Amino acid sequence: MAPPLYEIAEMTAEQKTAFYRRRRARNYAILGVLIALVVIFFMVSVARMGRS
Amino acid sequence: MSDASLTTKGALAPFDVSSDLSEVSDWVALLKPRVMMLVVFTGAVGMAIAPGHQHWVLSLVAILCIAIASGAAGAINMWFDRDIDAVMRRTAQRPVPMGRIAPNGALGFGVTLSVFSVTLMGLATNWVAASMLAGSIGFYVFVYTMWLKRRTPQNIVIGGAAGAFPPIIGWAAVTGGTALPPIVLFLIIFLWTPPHFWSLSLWAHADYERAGVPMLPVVAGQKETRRQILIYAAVLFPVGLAPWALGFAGPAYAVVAAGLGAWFLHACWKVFSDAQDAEGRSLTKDAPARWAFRVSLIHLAGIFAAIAMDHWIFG
Repeated sequence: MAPPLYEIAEMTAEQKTAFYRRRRARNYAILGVLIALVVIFFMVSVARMGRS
Repeated sequence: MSDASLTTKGALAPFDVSSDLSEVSDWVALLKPRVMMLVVFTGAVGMAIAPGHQHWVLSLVAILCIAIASGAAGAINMWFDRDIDAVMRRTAQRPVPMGRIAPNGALGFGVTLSVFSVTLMGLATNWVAASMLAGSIGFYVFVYTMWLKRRTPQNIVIGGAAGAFPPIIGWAAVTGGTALPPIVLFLIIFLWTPPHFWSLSLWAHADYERAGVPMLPVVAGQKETRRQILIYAAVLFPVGLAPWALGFAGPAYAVVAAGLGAWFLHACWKVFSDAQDAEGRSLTKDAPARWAFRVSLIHLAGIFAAIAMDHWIFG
């Protein structure tokens, strides 16, 4: 859950930088997980079809 | 949320936080990566010695599922145990008691990963393995974490079964069933867990006492704990040789297992005979218990590595 916008507005420049850095890192991690999921399901499908 | 809580990673607001305080590493920490490594390794060995052929992609995915399930159970455990984690020095730095991840976030993360790992295991391999995976998560969460951990000093003994499931799951992922070899591997981990954890609890018993967790040293005393550690290590020694005695590992394995078993037994004897006061409290800052804990890790990893190597080299 993101903090309310007024709380972001009240942050110091340093806190904002840290806040956006953490959020960016989490977003990249989620992107990585989603790409990995696509690859995994594709490869599992190919392997299962090859077996049958 | 105050500015202070943002700059101190939420330490001022232990249980009422936003997930915006979390780093990616906090979510990784929820998965208990060090526990995961041993679980993955033992599960992979269960797969390696199973008869039959499996596509390498499906094998890798099965190992991934075991890893994710282990992490998911760890995350749910951290959600449930956040109150005792906060008062134990060993666990106070975890993301939930530190306030970097909200409890509900940890629970949602764990449940989502549990469902995902079981579903993927079923789709990639078979539903017998998936059911066993679900059973192991359920056992760890409901039987160990929620039921036994805070009620009985035998929590580690019975709860240890959850950590012993991976070889059975790995075997089932390949064969679709179970057999004697994975059950023997299960027994090895099952008997290894109590001396492993009780060694740790000997020097961390103050933590458990403060948290009200009835670990054996807290309830029965350190003297009795030392005796139990030695008994379990003595029983573990012949069980470690069972793969050779039952014919699914060769003499090379037997030599390695005997060496490792004797080493661990010796370390546990040192714990038993440690210089101690009348109540069994160590006068050596629990140096033998710390050593036995490290030896136990090498012992289990060595036994499973030896089984896998024996299988690959000698068939």
